[in-house]
Amino acid sequence: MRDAMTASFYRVEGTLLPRHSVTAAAWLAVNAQDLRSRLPRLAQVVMSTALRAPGPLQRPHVARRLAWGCVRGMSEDRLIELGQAFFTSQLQPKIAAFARRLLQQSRAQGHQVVLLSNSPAVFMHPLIAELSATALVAPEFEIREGRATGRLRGPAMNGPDAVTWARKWIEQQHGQWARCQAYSSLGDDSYLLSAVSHPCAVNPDQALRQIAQRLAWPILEA
Amino acid sequence: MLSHESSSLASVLAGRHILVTGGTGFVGKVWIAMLLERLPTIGRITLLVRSTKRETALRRFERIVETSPCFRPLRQHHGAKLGAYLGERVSIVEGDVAKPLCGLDETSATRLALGLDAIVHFAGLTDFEPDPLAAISINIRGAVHAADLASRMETPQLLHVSTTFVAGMVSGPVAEEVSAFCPAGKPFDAAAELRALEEECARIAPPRGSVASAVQAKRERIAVALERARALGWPNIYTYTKGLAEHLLTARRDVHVTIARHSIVECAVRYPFAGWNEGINTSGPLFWLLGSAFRELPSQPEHRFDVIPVDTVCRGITLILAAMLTRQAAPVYHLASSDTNPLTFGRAIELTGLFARRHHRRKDATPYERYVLQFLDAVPVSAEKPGWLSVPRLRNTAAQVNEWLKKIEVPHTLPAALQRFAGPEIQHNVTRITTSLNRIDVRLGRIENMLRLYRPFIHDHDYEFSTHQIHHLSAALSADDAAWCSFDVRDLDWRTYWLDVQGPGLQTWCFPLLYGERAPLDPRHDPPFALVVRPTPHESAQEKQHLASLEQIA
Repeated sequence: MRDAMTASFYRVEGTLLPRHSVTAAAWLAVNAQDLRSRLPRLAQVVMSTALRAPGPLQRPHVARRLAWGCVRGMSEDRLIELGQAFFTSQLQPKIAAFARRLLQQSRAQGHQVVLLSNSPAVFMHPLIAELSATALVAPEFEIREGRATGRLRGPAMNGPDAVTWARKWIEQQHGQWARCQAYSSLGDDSYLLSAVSHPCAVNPDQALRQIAQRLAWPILEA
Repeated sequence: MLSHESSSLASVLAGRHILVTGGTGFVGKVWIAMLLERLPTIGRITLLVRSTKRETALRRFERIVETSPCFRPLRQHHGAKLGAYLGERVSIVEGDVAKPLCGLDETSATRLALGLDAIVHFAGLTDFEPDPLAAISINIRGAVHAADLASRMETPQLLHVSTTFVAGMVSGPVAEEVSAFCPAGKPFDAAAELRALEEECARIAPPRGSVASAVQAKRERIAVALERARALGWPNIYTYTKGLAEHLLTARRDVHVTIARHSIVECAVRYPFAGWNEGINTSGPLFWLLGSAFRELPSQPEHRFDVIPVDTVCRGITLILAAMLTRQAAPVYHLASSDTNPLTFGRAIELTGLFARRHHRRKDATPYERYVLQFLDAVPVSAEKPGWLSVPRLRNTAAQVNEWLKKIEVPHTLPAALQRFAGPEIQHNVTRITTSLNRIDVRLGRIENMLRLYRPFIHDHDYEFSTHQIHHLSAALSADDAAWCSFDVRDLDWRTYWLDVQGPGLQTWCFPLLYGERAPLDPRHDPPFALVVRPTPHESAQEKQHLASLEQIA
């Protein structure tokens, strides 16, 4: 009898690709159609970095909203085209060789590859074909009448929400949760890693490293 | 409505004999190739082709079939047997729509007409500001001559291909009808207007042999025709003459005329292949301009830019022809996109800029393209409030700098020591810069003139052409026919079309012409392609009787 479907969940940022949200937002800002609007948009992204850095001002959610708010008023056509251009020029060359090997291994084990990302889908869509993934979960820019509102829409892929989404997805696919694997570099994904039977920390940040060491999860450094 | 549940397009057109004028033009060629590829059961297509000094009509057609990329699918499909395949379905008749009876003699015209089921009249002059004499003889007289020929048919049927922009200088919804009024809203007599135009043009006759005065006379004729056109509500000579032709044709009682008006015809989506285009069409120069350092296009971003792929137009014409042959055709059809899937100028300009970015990112791009042009995007601006980078301002600045440089007299301006040291060098550079500025001024002048011609369509008016009739025909198609012949403009994704079809298509087929080069052609065959000409069929008893009666009258 054929085994039930199962999956490997990969956090894109830090695991498969370097973290890139600030550069990606800045890329969109400096490539707005109207030359005069480029500087204010870029200033918005720069301000968001102050709220991202560790310290008393740290507000990751506000920083994120501020950074991606720079696309407000930009057309959907432009966002898709610039997203693809950014992927081709900046992200594609940085996909780590070991990441490709990991994915290959997952596929060889009969796992479906599911990519999780907090970056807007316009940057991440080309990854599906590039890495032969089954699915991508990433937020989308909210579009009204062909123009971005500056807000992101889509499943929140942080903390316990990632677990809820992943379980639901497996159920929908009639898959087997017990055999699922998860790979991440973020402490925020410790919920997801602890929920699957085969967790793995890849290039972990400080928070995840501590948890991984305590729970004896495998740690991959590349 | 076409009731195709029982009769497919193939059965409606099977065995039919169609005469086509303008079959060597952009749209006509795609239509003929598509028809011959998709409907091999068609009886016969007779092409009325002009001969040139170097080529007979037949050789001209053979060369087109041999080297035009438009006929690639047919060549690939039939290989060495294409000559025989076309010979069974295509006839070439030497003629000229500008001449009475399209250049045929009485007997040939009658004999040809009696065997026809319909005439499809594509022939036309599409320049916005041609010599009115040429526009009259091709766009107006040409249509009348095609109708005269059609009147000799047993069931006189003429499908006249026109433009949606005969609507003139109006904004808003445009109905599928020929109004009794001119676009300015006044009642008018098209025949009287034509007579008046011809008389005015005839008065402007240059003395023989003088080239300069011939050019001046042409300018005067254009000015006269433009004045008349604008008084009646048409923005240019093209729409004016096409509009007059429509009015003259619909006034005829001896021919059943159906009018197919298309909007701006652009690159093919599927047939003969994605991106196919020919000649310098409407959006080619705009595309080229927006890919250069030019930043500000006078246009209204919310106005519709009614573009339609050439193969979609051809599918529409096939549907209209089938409806005509089954006596179900409406008087006027629009083949356009603005009512069901509008593309705005704002979006078209942005997509063009995004395509230019792709182009400037290519590996062999110059540093100027890669690091400067790539990051400049064109924006729509109001013609009333030109920006700092608008063409008139740039031209003005160039002229001022030029004037200033001309005033510099190196021997008097420079100190003696510097003059001895670098005087000739500086004088040489001043002359060089002045020459460059003159050249730039000429180029900017051309762009300014082009934008003036385009202004009514890209800035002043917002057209919404109703396409209810053609969608009605398309909806009645069987699934098999719909697969290749539906009028599917609603499904067109403008982003994909603009970036992956239109941009590369114009770059390959149109831009070389803008640089004064030739568009690429397919390699010639060895041995050369030749149409296997079918012997002329014997005259039917009916034809003989009709010809005999004509002779009696004579």
